[in-house]
Amino acid sequence: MSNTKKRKKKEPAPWKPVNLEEFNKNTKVISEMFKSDPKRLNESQNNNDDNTE
Amino acid sequence: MSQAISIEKNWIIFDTCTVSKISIIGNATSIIESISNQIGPFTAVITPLVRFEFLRKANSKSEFEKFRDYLTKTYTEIDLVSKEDRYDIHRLSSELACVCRYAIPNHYKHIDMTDFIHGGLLRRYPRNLFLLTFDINDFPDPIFELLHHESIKINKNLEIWALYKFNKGGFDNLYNKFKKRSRKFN
Repeated sequence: MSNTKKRKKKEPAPWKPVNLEEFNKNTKVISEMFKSDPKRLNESQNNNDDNTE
Repeated sequence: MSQAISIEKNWIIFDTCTVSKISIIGNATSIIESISNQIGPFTAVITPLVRFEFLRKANSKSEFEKFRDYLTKTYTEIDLVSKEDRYDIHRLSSELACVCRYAIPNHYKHIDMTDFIHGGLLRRYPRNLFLLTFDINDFPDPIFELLHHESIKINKNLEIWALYKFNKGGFDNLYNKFKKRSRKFN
């Protein structure tokens, strides 16, 4: 479910409490991509500050 | 004046390193449950800056689209470009940068533009906007109040995440000292 569907500019962002199950389900998909690439995994581990990568 | 976020409920900015590390872990249960125990339910938020920094990790168009979809499904994005907020956030962030530069010089070199913008947002919404980060050196005391921190194992490394909020009293104290010392400040 999209949290950033288009809304009028003057409306505040919608408040939606984190749904842990949904959060983890979405994150697991991306995690598989990171785990399949050891080089990216090491880069992310070594660089806390993403702006210096 | 319109608000980027409503001020009645809790919001937490997940900065780029946090989004990245959670993406590696693949499971945010321990972090989210710990935070919920501290402040109650909250919305996980990213800013356009975080979106930009995370998406540039993509190695292909296909990856870019998957990363983009992930961010859209998982996080709420704060609109930083609304006319009403833009000048205010810029002013708050700039003053924060000056205080960090001159009042806490050892910390300044760690802090980048994204952190200052996030700091400006925390300053704008001090009651109910928080920041979750793994860059625990980028949000110096007394400007930012450390609410909670924990260690977490990511692959073979032990890392620390921290939850911060803006400390208005701490900031105002430093800001007043800075203004007194400055010959000219706008």
